[in-house]
Amino acid sequence: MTVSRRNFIKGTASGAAATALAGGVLIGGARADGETAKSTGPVTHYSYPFHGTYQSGVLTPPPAEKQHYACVAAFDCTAANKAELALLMYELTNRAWFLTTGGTPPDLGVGQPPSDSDVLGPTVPADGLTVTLSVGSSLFDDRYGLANRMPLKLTQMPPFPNDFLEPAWLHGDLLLQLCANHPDTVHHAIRDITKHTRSGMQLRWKIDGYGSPPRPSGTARNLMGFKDGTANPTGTLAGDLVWVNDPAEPAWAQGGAYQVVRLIRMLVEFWDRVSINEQQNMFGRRRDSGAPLDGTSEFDIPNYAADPHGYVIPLDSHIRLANPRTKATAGQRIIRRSYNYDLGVDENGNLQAGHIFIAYQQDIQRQFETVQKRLINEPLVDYVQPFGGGYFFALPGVRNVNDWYAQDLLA
Amino acid sequence: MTWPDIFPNLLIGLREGLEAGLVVSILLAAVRKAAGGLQDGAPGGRASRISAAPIWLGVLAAVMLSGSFAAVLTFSTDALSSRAQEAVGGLLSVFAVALVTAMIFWMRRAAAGMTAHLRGEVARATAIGAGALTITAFLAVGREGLETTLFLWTTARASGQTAGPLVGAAAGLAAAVVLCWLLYRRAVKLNVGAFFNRTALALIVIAAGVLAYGLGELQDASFLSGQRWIAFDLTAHAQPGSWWVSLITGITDLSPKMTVLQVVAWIAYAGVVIPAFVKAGRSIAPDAAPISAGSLTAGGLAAGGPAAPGSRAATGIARRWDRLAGRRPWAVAGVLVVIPALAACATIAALPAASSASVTTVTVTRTACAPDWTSAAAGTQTFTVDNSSGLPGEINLDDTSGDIVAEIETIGPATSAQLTATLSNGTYVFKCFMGALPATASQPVQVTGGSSSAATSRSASSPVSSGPIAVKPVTVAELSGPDKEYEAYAAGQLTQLAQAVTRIQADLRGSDVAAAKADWLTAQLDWERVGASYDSFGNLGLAVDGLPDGIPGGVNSNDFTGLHRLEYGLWHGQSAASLLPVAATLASDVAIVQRKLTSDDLAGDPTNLPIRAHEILEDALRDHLSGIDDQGGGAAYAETYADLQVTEAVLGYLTPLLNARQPGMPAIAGGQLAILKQALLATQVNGQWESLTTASISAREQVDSAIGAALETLSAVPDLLEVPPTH
Repeated sequence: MTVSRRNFIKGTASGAAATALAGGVLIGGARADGETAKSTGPVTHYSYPFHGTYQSGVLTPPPAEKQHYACVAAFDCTAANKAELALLMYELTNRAWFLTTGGTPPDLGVGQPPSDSDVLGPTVPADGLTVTLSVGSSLFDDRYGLANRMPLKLTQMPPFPNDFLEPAWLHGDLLLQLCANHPDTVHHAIRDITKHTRSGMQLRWKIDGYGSPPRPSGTARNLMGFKDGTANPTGTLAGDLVWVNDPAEPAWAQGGAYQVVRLIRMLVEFWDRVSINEQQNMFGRRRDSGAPLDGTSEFDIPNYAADPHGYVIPLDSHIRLANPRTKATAGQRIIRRSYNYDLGVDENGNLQAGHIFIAYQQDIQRQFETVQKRLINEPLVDYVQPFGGGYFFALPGVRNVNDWYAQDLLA
Repeated sequence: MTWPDIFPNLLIGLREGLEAGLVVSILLAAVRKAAGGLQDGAPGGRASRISAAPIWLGVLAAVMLSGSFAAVLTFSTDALSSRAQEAVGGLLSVFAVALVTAMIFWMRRAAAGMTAHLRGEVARATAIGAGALTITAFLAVGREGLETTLFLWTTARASGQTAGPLVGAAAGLAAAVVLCWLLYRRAVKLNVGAFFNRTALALIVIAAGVLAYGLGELQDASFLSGQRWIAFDLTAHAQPGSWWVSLITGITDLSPKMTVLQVVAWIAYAGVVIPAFVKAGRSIAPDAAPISAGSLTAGGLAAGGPAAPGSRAATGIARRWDRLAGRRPWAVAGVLVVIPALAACATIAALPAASSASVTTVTVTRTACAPDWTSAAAGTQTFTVDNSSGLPGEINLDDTSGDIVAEIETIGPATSAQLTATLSNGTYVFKCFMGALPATASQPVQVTGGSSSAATSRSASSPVSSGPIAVKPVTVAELSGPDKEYEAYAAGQLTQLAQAVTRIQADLRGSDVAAAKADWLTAQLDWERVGASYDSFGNLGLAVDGLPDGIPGGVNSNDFTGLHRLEYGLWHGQSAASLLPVAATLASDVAIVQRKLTSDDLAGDPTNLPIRAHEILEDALRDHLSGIDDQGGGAAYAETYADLQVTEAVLGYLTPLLNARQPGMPAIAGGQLAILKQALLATQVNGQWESLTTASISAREQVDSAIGAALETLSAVPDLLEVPPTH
């Protein structure tokens, strides 16, 4: 068999082109899958970048792949003045950088106790730790002369109807969200950070959270047994909804994000005594598959236009009120990065368990508050009791080794 | 079943049928010619061996093979998990596309030489024996048959239904047979070559759609990446079931939502195959005479060139086998007919029986309810209910007495959902309530092989029954009587409440805070006995009994009104005078509740009564026993006691309905409520209620335990007495 050179080149070229096309589509697909990772669930990464335009722990890793363990800790600043506050921020930057990178703690010799708790062994692993630092509106009172530098939309979280807020679980000058692959890593991080910042800030409240793996597939379930986070925006859409870029905001706040934390007790005993039909009508999804009540599988898009009276998905169901999927409400979507918590026993002998609701967005009023107001008096409120949390502003990223948290704010 | 679903398979059936038919026609013609020639030129001994029968046997065997293949495909994939089904469906789709593509190009190349080739086969068969003729017919028809089956199966999967594609394929095949017969009889003339060329283009478009569908299935099964890399998603705009969506999806197998891989594959396939096909036609056309009707007849064949030796070089083994088979046409035919059928039966029999019994798919249409449900085994099983009715609705699985064994309360149009049921010996029937259509029912199905009665074993954790029970549906009318009794009870409590509020107002006017506190407790307990649990009295209930939580301003807000506002003031040293307006507002709010009590928003909706049976005490556990609603009065146990009293009343009104559905259940709940009553009374010291903080840990645990146990039982009441929704 003879093959002419021309035919050989032609054949090789078309073969290469076809291979490149097929490979490109499959690799692109794998990347897109990875971005949403909705069917594979959390992916364990060893470490996430500390330096960057944006802080890690918001969209890095994306909520669908978030680390399994978290700690949310609110602090009040005890720093005496703005200079001490800057020192606190500088120290926080150093600790977060070290902990998220990993390494060997310094040897302090025999003259003082060891520098590290050794909870993670002699060499501290990064273990997927992300440290995300936010500020509360109370930081902008008259203590540090920051009153005129507050992000435009930052307020104190107001009580919403059906909230049962407990002052001991509310607000704070600073908020740390620590997430990692293992609970001991989270514990080590908060212990290390507080050890190095005793004079500058004091713990106000703290709650530990855990994520669930997909059961059996798709988005993880919350403690009510329902898949939670199915409709979370992903990819560039998520970025467009999260990062502050409004020119009206202070320059230092560009690249930050508003953060809402709500500690929501779930009355799980009561919930377990509710009929499956009522449960599903409250959420608007099937409990087994996570499919919207008008769909077959989890990621089917509910078609509200075809069901204007709510015969299939009730008008007051959670998913319908939270995300009506209209053009007008598209900009109100938030990025949820929530965890479960278990906190012992309630006064009445029931489990104290629930949901650490963490949401990031560009504008609290346009996004979280608008959605939350639609959800007032949804049937689900009988089974949950929000008792704590607050509004915070996640700082822009620490850009490089010469930068530190809130440098532009405190400059 | 719609035209768009029929069309692709009509085309496939017609084309493949015509191909196979032409082969058979040529063979028949060749045999007739050969037989004629032999009769003319040689003694008759040989001629009797060359009859048309071996060809028809070969055809029959090929049909059997295709049928067996179809059966194996259908039954084996039904037994697979959904992911495996997607994987198999995807692979077979891609394979079918490869076959069809090869067939299109083969027809183009082979059309010219086909007649000559087959004539050679016939000549060979005359030399070897009739059995070879059977094999030739079998191979020719069988190949087309398998292709048709595979393609039909994949397009049926892609369109999600079986009737349309089957009708289309049958019509196509029938048309092909008639056309072949007419061609053979020279009744019509058809430029077969042109026919195959033109239909080939349509077929390429269909095949591109099947390829995209198959890749999509492989992505769904996670065999290929990119499932979430969506090229476009028109599902929000494309109303499923609208005519134009059916038209496009039916003919092209494209869907309103496609991944990038699917789109790229579709474009690449169509973009490569169509030009290649056109180009191949151009290069062949000059020297390829299309098969004409004339060439199919004996005369046409005779005019053809000399018989070419078999183009597929037969090996020695094949030749020996040819000779062996050639002499035994009936044995060959028998083997060809029987073996595929046996193989198919064996394959189907070897499939795990349990899995096909544990997951059954039933379909709901506008006129039929689970017509595909014909048999069932005892035990717990899951049904996939496929709603093709185009309407939302409710699906029930009922036993012989019309009691509901399992239900899907809401199933959306064009979706499927799981229904899990535990069946024992007896007869069951599916009932479908779709939109405003009249209810439909499946045929009754007899279940055997299980225990003779429903589960009767009891366990410690659930004293009523451990097994699922069938529930007789309840009507609003049946609940109306009990609800009227409850309304009368609540009205009596409201009268007492109004009197107590009047006394509070008098106490406050006399600045007698101690008396006001005592009368507040009476009033609070009267209100508890109204049974307005869980916002079931809406904003009016909140006005009478709301809490400061969730109100900006909290206890200092003017929006904080009612009994708890009074409680807060009385126990926080607020002056009697400052509480007088609070009491006055309370009095007027109570009067409004009295006036509106029988409205649907308050106590008038009978469907809420079963919910009250457990939610009044859920309310007590959530708000009183947790201490969350205590504004200083420390009355958690007293309030819970009042909640217990109204719960006993509601349970009493519902007892006949409950006993009709689960005999003995109200008695068990009543016993647990009696234990709760004892536990609550044990928190009293010298006739005075202890508060949560002063009661002993053991007393608290007794109460929490007793109320929890009662609630676990009472939580079944709303399920037992649920009125089906209207869709």
